[in-house]
Amino acid sequence: MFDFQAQENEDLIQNRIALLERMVSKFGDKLNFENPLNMSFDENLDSYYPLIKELKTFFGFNFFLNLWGTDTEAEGQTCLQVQLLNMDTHQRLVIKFMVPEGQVVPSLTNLWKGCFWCEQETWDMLGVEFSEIPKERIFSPDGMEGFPLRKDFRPKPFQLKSSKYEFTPDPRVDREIWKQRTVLEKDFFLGEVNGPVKAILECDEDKVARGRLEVGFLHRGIEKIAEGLEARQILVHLGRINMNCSSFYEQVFCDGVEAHLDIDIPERAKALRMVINEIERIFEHLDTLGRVCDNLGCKPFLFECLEMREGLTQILKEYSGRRMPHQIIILGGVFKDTPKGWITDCLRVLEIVQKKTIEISRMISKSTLWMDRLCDYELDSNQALSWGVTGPNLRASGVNYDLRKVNPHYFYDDIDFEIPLGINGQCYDRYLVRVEEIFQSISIINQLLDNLPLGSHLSKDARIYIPFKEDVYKESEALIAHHKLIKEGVQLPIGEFYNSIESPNGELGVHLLCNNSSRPLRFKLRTPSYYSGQCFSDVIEGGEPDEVPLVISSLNISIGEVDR
Amino acid sequence: MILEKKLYKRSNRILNLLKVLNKLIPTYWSLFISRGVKSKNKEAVLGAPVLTTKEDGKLACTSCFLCQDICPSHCISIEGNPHEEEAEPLEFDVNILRCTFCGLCEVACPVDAIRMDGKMPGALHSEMNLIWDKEYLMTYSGVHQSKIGEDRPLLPY
Repeated sequence: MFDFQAQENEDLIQNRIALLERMVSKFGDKLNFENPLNMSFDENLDSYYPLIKELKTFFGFNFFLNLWGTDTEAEGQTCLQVQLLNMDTHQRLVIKFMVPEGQVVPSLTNLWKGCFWCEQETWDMLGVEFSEIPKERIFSPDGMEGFPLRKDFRPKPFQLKSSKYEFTPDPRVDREIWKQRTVLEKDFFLGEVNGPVKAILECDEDKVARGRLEVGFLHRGIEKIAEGLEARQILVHLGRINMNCSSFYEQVFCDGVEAHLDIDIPERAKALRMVINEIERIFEHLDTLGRVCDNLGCKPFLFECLEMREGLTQILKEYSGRRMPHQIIILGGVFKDTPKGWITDCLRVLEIVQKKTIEISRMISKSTLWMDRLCDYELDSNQALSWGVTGPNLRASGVNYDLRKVNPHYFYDDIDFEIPLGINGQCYDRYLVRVEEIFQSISIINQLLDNLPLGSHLSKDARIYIPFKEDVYKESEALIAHHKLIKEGVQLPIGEFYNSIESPNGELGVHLLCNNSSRPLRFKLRTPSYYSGQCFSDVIEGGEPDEVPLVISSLNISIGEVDR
Repeated sequence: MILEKKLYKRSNRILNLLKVLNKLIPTYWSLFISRGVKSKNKEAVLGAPVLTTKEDGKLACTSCFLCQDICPSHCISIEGNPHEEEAEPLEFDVNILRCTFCGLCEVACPVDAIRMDGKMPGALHSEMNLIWDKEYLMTYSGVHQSKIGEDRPLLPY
């Protein structure tokens, strides 16, 4: 029989080799192959825009992943980094540019719309100017002096300024008609949507002509906080970015640090991490489903979803002893082996969840009312790719891209599961994809728990392992190791790494720059909701002002993720 | 896998009635029998920090400052005794407004002097009540004895 999978893999490898050969012949020795999937090279700022345009058009780097800056030791110089993705060969590329103080960098918003917030944030945090980008504080308060992510920043008292966003004239309509439009401002809090956010809408009679989200009400500055903390302390803050899927944040960081230190964790820990992650994925999707039901006025289904979520919370609490940020995943594995009888409890709860989700989806999926309200607010695949949207929102518009299949980590290679795809990216497709993903996750957990590997749940590598309390009380060696790890922290060798994972909302990445100490020099997160929050302005066009919370909850824009 | 998407499928009225009944009966039934899952393992639940005492009633803390160093939200502040080594601290304050109940201080303590066994704080009138001092931490949730060398439930990290 013809093996399609093997043929596909062979094609992929050949495509990648062809791309690498073309890259090497063009850029020569500049390329840095330290990590084969994440190439990087340095380039002069003069060729910033033409180079990136060439990479997009001729080398197939058609997906924009991230853009961020780092304050360097050289005076008045900022290192600007752009990360791109080639979706055919799954090749990631980081390009670094040195930007002197006061130089204006050309904006990339003509190539990808999703750069807009990234560039605005880079100005807000590091003071790098971009052409065509308004100088507005996106996260820090208006009226503040200085740029927080610079190393010489010291906070000073300042007077808060109140600024109001004003739309520029719409080029698509006459100026006289544009002047008759009204501007609506709507505030939302936890409940309707997932966090505090303000929507500014320009209304033409009763339809929305243009709209945008104003964020920054939940900004905690995790990237700045992380620069003064060591790995174990960063984990505590990471779990609190998005409470619904905290384990993904912990895992992406732990996994990256372990790979950077060359530590191989036991197989049982890998399987348990996957189980916890998939439980959290169901948890987040149920949250979205419940919120969509709530915004459409179907309260009974909201309560059903909350009841299912409560069951999942209880099994996580039984495992770890706490409800929301449960902190099960730690450096080197999971902190505890499964308690007695936990696996049967877990399977029982999942059975209930499956039964109830089938019940709900049978009742509402084909209902006329449900379709009337949800078959709207379209995000087609071109728009989604341009905004940098990933995850279920991208898959709902028909693009088959899932990191669990594309770049499988742990045991995702050996497990049977399918990737649900939508057709045209309406709210209804997003709903269908999320419901199907719940069933797929349940099947993944069932397969994992049936074949859970035996062995230890924690790697006992001396660089990250804190000895058990009983050993600390009795043995002097363990006591010394304990003191050293707690006083100094986990030592991170020089270098930088990027690690990514498929979180329930899309690609979640962490970028860490280390300098032979326990504290990182720069910590950067690529959160999925940051990009789906930007595409809101495209989706809401032509809609009704009342349905803003429906659109936000259907795209699952988690404000905690956006603001960080 | 491309999902099936049918628009406006006509459905049977009798089937719809059966569907409603199928939903209603279990809903009323569940008023009497709860279908939720309840946790059995209640020992492992973490609470607010408490300070433990030795057998003679003194503090077990030896002011080694490990918990102050590891705290990710900087909520512990200790003032040691400069005249004696390994003596109990002069002051030990926990700012419960900053505390995230992560349990790292308990992991860091080498003599089992701080533990996450206390009652969770409820609503209070003033902010000052939430910066807890040494005496309050020792007594607010009953007296806890330090158990060096005994088996305790494992904590994160």
